[in-house]
Amino acid sequence: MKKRMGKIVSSLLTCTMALGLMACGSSDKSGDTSASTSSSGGKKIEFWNFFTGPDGNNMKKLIDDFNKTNPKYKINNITMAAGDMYQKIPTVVNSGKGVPDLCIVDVARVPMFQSQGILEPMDEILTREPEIKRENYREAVWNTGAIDGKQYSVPLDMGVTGLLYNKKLVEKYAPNVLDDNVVTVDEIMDIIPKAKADDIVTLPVSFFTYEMALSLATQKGGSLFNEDGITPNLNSAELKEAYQTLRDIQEAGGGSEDGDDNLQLFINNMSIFCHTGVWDYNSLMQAEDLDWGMTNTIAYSPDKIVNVSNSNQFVLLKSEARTEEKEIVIADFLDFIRENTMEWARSGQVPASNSADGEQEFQHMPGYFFVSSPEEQNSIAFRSFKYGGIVDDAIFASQNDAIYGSMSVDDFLNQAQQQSEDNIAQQGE
Amino acid sequence: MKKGFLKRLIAPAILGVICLIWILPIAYGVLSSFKSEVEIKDTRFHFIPETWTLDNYKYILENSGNTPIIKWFMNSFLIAVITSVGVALIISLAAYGYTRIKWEYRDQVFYIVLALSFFPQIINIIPLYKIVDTLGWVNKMPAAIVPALASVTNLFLVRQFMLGIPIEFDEAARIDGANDFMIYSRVIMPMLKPVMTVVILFTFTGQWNDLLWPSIVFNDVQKMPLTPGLQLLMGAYGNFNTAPVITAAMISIVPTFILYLFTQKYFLQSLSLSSGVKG
Amino acid sequence: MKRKKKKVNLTHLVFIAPHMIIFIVFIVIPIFFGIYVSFTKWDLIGTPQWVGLDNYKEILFNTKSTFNRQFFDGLKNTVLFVIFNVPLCIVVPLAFALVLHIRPLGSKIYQLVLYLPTLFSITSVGLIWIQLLNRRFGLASVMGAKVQWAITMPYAWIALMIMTVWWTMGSNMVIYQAALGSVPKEEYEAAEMDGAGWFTKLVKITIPSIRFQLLYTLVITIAGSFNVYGQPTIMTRVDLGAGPKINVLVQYIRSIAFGSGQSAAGIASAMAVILGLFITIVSIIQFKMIRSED
Repeated sequence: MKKRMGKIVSSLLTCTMALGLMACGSSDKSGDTSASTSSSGGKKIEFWNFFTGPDGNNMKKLIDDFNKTNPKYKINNITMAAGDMYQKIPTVVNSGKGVPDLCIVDVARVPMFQSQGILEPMDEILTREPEIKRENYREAVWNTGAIDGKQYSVPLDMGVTGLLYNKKLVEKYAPNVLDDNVVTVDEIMDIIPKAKADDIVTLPVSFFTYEMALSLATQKGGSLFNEDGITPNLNSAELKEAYQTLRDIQEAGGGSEDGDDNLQLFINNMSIFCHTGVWDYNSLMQAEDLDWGMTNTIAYSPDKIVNVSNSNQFVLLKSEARTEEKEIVIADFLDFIRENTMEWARSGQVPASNSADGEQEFQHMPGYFFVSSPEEQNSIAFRSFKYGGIVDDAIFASQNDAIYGSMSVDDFLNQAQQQSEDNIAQQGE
Repeated sequence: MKKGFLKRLIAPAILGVICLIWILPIAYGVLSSFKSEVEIKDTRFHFIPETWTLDNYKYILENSGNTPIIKWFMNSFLIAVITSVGVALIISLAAYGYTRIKWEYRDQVFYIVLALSFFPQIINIIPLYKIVDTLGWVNKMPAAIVPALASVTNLFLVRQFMLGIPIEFDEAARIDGANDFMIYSRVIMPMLKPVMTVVILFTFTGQWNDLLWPSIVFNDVQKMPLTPGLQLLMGAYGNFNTAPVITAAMISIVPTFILYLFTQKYFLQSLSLSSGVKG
Repeated sequence: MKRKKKKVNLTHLVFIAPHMIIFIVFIVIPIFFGIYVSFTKWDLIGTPQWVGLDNYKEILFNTKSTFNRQFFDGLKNTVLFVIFNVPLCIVVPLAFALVLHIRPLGSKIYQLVLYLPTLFSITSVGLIWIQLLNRRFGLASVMGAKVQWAITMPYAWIALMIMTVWWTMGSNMVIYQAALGSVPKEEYEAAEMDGAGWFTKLVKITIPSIRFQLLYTLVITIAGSFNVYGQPTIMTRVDLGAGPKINVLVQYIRSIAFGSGQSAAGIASAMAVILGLFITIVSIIQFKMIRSED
């Protein structure tokens, strides 16, 4: 019995070791870690992005179409969760190997990466493809990539956040509120008692609270940072007022309960409004029995409208493996995206390039609303500060507590200010 | 007989009720995998699906270029099996060295190893990635396999079981002229079948479900194991479709489930330790 | 004489070497690197800047500092988690293992069901529980829950404990089952002949016979509970932008090292080192206590 066990164990061992060696062997095909790591061989450009959901299909189509034009290097689409990617970037940058050739990052991270010295300017790309220039994109989003006189990123889109409205419920509770294309805070407060009587939520303030608060604060001239762009200013009067406004809405009974899935409430016709981003387009289209539209963020007055937006941007992480040849193909790819941006518009995002503006299909999409006029385009605001990430985390730590009343707005913002200052101090010389 | 009564009626009854409640969440998960997305997100609570659908399974099992499910399964399987066998071997050898052989500082060294393993492994990934990259293992299986072979919890576990084996067995074998390696392989290891089975079960499951490290170390969609691969089905802004994710969970549990069924009887064996001494 | 002694020395090295080499390369070196980082200011990208004990001072003594606040809040929640979790995760699986050991009717099925949760990954488990606990759509709504359990005190702790025990007790149970199987039947038979009842047998024979494994589960469960990260994160992250209500220390450490902004890796490492030392001291105490009972 023991002998047999021994034999079985040793033969099992040998088998698995052999299998293991085979597996290691086959993956060893490309000794050059910079070029292709995929089994199909050939020259590849490693492109990291976090489009893992339905929008991933749109990006995939763009990439496939580009690869069909037979470029010298094919684009290798590597998607992963955003959190994973942002954890990976320091690991690969530190080791110097495995850095992607092209990468999508959120605009909020661009100044941070640039200041850390891990971004290469886009000069070569811009010279190679002269059509990639400010005039062919929305000015505001193009400018977010301009730091110290150089262009460090090319924008893909604008993830604008705005106010969803349920057409039927608006008819019922606030028939003319959308005549001026914006719902004011006062109008919201008026609606609340009527909706609350029927157990209908007016505006869930716990969803994209940050964007709403920023919009309100910006409307009154406030900002997350001082003029220098580096010193945080979280306990400013404007920001306090903004959060207090949201809290007032919640306390008046206009919001939802802590922990509710707010988009679900809206889709199930249980909420009149909902603040979210254009990327929810596909989820909303799938909803049965929902008649909806999207408009500007709520405002104190119709004269000043601000729509806070994030943005996906193409960057070049510093990498020795990216040859000139690769850069040429990358430039072609970015121009291809610029021209064929309609495909990306189908994901719901508002394209940064204006090449699709004339297309009927785009004009019928809710995202088009935000670029339909110069006033609308000017209302879009981005967050791109060197220490923006630190501030974001500080706000998120207790934002909900402030909204739901377990913490005062003052305490919340003071604590966020302290946290931001402490974290920034950790970065100092 | 009192024991028979307990055995046949009371204990099963109590256990039965507990298990019914115990399995509720899993039953919910399994049933949800047959529901449509709309139904899962509906305002009312559904336990049993109103409309049974196989769409979720179709969506996931669609073995496309960007989500090569079969490849992921194979990768996970290889990694888990090789690690399990490797751990069983390396850990049992080490445990023998820490219990059956007397050497100076033996216990102190073990305790230091144990203490070090308790340190939170968070910043670890930065130097660990660099080490793995220096060895040229990025995107390759050894990256997921070799670091796991250092498993100190399993070492501790096997050591504890070895401590429970009386020294008389060793001595009897030594009198017969056996050296350490022979005692290890012919006397001690056969007695450890229950715990070694547990070690294999734990290691396999741990590797199978590991998410963080494999997602750092594998970039290539074709090379990655199952658990990080399935993460790709989740949307970027957290607006993922619940149905595919739950379905994915159901699919991933199948191999570990089968492994458990096979190994069940091994770690339940009642060994009569006295049988060895007579010789 | 001397030659024999040299032989023994070499043998033990052969046995422990494979493990030791891997352990040193993949565990010890990164840990020492982490300890080094704890004495620096580093954003994970540039060069670490030596600051000596500053990080430790800031975390432990600067009461105005965010990091001090986060550390002690995290430590408090972690210790609470350990205190609640460990007894449950020792006693509950032991009870099940003992009952199953009698081999009641259908025991094979029962032990399968009881172990099943352990086979799932944390993300799957979290997802299912969040759905169930949802006040509006989940099982909790059917059972008449008035608040969102997952994020309201004290229900959040109860929910967290139930989910944790449900998910993790299987491992300890299996270890106990294996341990019970190794207890020689002869000892029980001898005791029965002396007229011992089930309680005496339990306390005088069973527990002592599995004391090695009990020590194992105790030490590992405690260390694991101190390092807990998955359950509190998944449980309390019900909505985008909603901060978790129960923040354990490892969550804070992670968010400081891998947040949305620049990393404060030095602070995070220092917290990790302190936590590691804490666990080690607690473990030493456990070992001494169990030893003295022997």
